[in-house]
Amino acid sequence: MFDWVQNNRRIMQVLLVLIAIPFALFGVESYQRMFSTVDQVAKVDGVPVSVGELNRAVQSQLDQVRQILGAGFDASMWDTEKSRRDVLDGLVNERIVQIYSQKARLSASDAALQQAIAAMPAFQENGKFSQQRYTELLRAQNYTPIQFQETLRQQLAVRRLVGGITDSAIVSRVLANQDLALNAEQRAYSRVSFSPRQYMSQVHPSDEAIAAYYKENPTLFEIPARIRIEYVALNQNLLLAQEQVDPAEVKKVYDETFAAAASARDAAHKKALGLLANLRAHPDQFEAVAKAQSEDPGSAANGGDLGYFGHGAMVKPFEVAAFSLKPGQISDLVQTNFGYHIIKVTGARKADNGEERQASHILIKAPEGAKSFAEASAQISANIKRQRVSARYAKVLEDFQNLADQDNDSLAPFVQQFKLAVQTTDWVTHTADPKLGLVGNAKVIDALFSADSIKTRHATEAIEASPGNIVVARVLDHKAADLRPLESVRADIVARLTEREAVKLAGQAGKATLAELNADKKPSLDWVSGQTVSRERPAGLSADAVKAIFAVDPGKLPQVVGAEGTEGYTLYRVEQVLAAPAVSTEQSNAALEAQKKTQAQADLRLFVAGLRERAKVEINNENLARK
Amino acid sequence: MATTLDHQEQEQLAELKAWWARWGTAILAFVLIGLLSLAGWNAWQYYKAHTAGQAAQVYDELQQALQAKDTHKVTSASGELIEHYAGTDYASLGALLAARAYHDVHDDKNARGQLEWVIDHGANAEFKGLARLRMAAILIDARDYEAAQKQLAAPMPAPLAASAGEQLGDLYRLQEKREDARKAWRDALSKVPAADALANERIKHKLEALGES
Repeated sequence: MFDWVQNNRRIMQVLLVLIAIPFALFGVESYQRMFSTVDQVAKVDGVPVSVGELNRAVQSQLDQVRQILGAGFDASMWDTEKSRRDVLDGLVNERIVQIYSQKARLSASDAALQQAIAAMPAFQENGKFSQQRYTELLRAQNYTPIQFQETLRQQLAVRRLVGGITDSAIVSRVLANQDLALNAEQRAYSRVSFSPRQYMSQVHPSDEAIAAYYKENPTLFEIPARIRIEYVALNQNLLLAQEQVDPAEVKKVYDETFAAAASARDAAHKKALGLLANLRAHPDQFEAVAKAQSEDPGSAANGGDLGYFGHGAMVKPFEVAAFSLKPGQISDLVQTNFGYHIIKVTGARKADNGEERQASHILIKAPEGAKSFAEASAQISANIKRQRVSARYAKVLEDFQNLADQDNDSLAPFVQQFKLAVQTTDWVTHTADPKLGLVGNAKVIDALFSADSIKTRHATEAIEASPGNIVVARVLDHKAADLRPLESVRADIVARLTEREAVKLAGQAGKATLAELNADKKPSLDWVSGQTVSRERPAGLSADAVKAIFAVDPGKLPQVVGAEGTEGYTLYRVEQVLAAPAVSTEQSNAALEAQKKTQAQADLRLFVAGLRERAKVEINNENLARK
Repeated sequence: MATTLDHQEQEQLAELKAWWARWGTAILAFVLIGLLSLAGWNAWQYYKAHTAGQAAQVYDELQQALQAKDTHKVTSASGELIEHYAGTDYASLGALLAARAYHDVHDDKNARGQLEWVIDHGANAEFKGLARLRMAAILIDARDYEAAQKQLAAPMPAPLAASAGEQLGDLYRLQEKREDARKAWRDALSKVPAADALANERIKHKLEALGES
C-alpha cells in the first residue's frame, strides 16, 4: 500500500488539498454552531437563534417605543409573550435569508467590502476612515478583522439578495388606477337615523338589572388599594451635614498648609509698604529702587520700565491703576496674582486702538493663593468633612444595608444608628409617581405593595431609589381595594343601562324598518336626501356605514342598507354611483410609485415566506419567555 | 525474549497476513473510492464557489449599469449571466432587475423576455413565482387579460399563490366580474400565511367592499 502511495505521490497531494478545502470554506458557519443548545430559542435548518440575541432585539424594540411614548411608557405592556414571539419571528426570517444566501453562494467582492467598511461612521475620524479607530473598535468588541469582515460580507450578501428582489418590483398601472378610482368613487344616498335618545324614556332598568351590572363590572366601581408610607433616605449630603469639625483641627490644617504662605505674604506686604513710604518721600529714587529691589527680572534692570501698553495687555488690577494715574504719579500698593506692585506712570498717548500708557513698576512677589485663617477656614472644614465621609461611606452603606436586611417593624433603628429623619406621605395608590419624590420610584412602590410588606408592615430592604439615594420604607397604614357602595353609583349605572338598552331598541326599530322596506312595504320615513360619500372621504360616516354603502352592487340600485352610525342605527338608501373624477397623470404616477414601494416589501415577504415553508424551524417555547 | 516471537504471536501474525491477503485489495479499493468521491465532491464545491465568484463580478457590473441607466450594458451583463452562469441566483436576480429596467423605459418586449427566462430557468420556485406575478402586471397593462390570467393561475408556492389569487381578483373586478373576483379572493385568503397580517387584512377588506362580511 505504501509503495502505491510512494509511486503516486502527486495524486495523494491533490487528494489532501481537496479534503482540506471544506474546512477553509465552512469555518465561519461551524463557528456559529458552537452556541450551546441551552441558550437556543429557535433553530432554523440547524442554525440556532440564541436567547441573548432575542433579548437584544426585544430590548432595541422597547427602546424605540420608549422614545416615541416618552414618560407614559410602561415596559410591561410592551414586553408581552406575543411581542416576543413577533420579534423572534423576524429573527427567524432573517436567519432563513442568511442561510439561503450562503447556500446560493451569494457574496460580496472585496472591493464592495472595503467600500462598506470605509463608509461606516463608527470607523471615521473627521469624516475619513481611520485604520487605527477600526482596529481599536474591533478589539473592544472582541472581533478579529477576519471575523468582522466575514460577518459583514454575509450581511452584504443578504443585502444583495434583498435588493435584487425589492429593486425589481413591477406593478400594474391599470390596477393602481383602479384602486385610485375606487377610492375616489362617490355614491349618492339618503339616510334616516333611529336615535337612541328617542327610546330612553321607554327604558326603566329594574333593581335586579342594576344589582347585576354592579356585580358584573367591579372594575368600573373600584377604589384602588392605598397605603401611607414612612421612610428614611440615606445619602452623602446627609452624612456631610452630620459631621462636626473641631476648630482646633481646622487651625492645625491651616497652620500646616496656609500659614507659611500667609506669613510670606505679610512679609512681602510689609516690605512693599516700606518701599512705598520711602518713595512718597523721595519720588525721584523710583528708578534706583526698582533696579535694586524689584523682583520682576524682566523690567528691574531698566528701572522698572515696561514701555507703552494698551488696554488688555496687563492683568486687570494693574491696568485699572495704571490708567487712573497721570504721568509722574505713583500708585498705592496694587495687589495681583504676582504680588504687590508700586506703579509709576511715565507717559500717555493716543493710539489707533485707544489710549496707551507707559509705566514703570516695582514688584515685591507674594505667594499665590495665600489666605487668612478667616478666609480659609470654611473651605478647610468642608474638605475635612468630605474626606471623613468618603472614608466611612462604604462602611455606613454596608451597615445600613445589613440593618435593612433584617426584618424591621419600625424605622427607629435607622433613626438611632444613622440619625436620619423619618418622612411620611399621604395616601398613595400603586402607581410610580415622580411627584412623591424618592418613594415615588417604581421599585419602592412595588416593594411596598407586595402582599408581605402590607401584611407584616416590615420595612423594605435598602433600595437605591435614585442615583446616590438609598431608601428604606415601610407601610404605615393600608386600605384594601374596595368597591364604591352601590347607592353612590346607582345613578351612574342607571345612565349606562338606559343608554345600552336605548341603543338596542333603536337598532331593533331600524332593522324592522329595513325588513319592511325590503318586503316592499312603504313605511313613512323622514329621509335626509342629497348626501354623497367616497371611500377616501367618509364625511363623518362611521366605518361600518361606509363599508355597508360601498358593499352595495352598483348594478342593483337603489338599495337600502343599515349600519350603526354616529347618531344611532341608521338606514342608508344608496341611489346612484357617481362617476369618479378623472385621474390626473400626476395622481396616477404618484399612486404607481407608492404601489411600487408597497409591492417591493410585499415581494420580499412572499420570497421569505416561500423559503420558510421549506425550512425546518423549531421554536423552543420554554426559552421564549427567558430573559 | 525480545528478538523472537513466541508461538502464539506467530500464529496471530500468520492469521493477520492471510486475512490481509484475502481482504486487503477490497479494503484499499473501498477506501480509495471513498477518498475519490470526497475529493470529487470537494472539487464540485470548489468549482461552484469559483463560478459564483465570477458571476458576482458580472452582477457588480450589472448593478453599476443599472445605476447609470446604461441599457446597453444592462443587456450585455444580464445576457452574460444568463448565458454563462444560468444555474446561479445571480442570473435570476440579474434577469429580474433587467426586466424592471426595461419596463421603466417602456420596453415591455425585452422586459417580458427577461421574465420569461426566469419563469423557465429561475434558480428556485420563489423567483419563478415572482416573475409570473410581474409578468401578469405587464400583461394586464397591455390589456392581454387572458394571458395574465394564465400566469396567475400557474402553480407556485402557497404564499405567492395567495398573492397571485389576490391579483386575479383585482383583474376580475376590473372586468366587473364580481362573482369571479369574490371567488379568487376567497381562494387567496385560504392560502395567505397566517403570519402575514397585512395581506390578510387587505384581502378581507377587498371582499368586504364587494358586500361580503
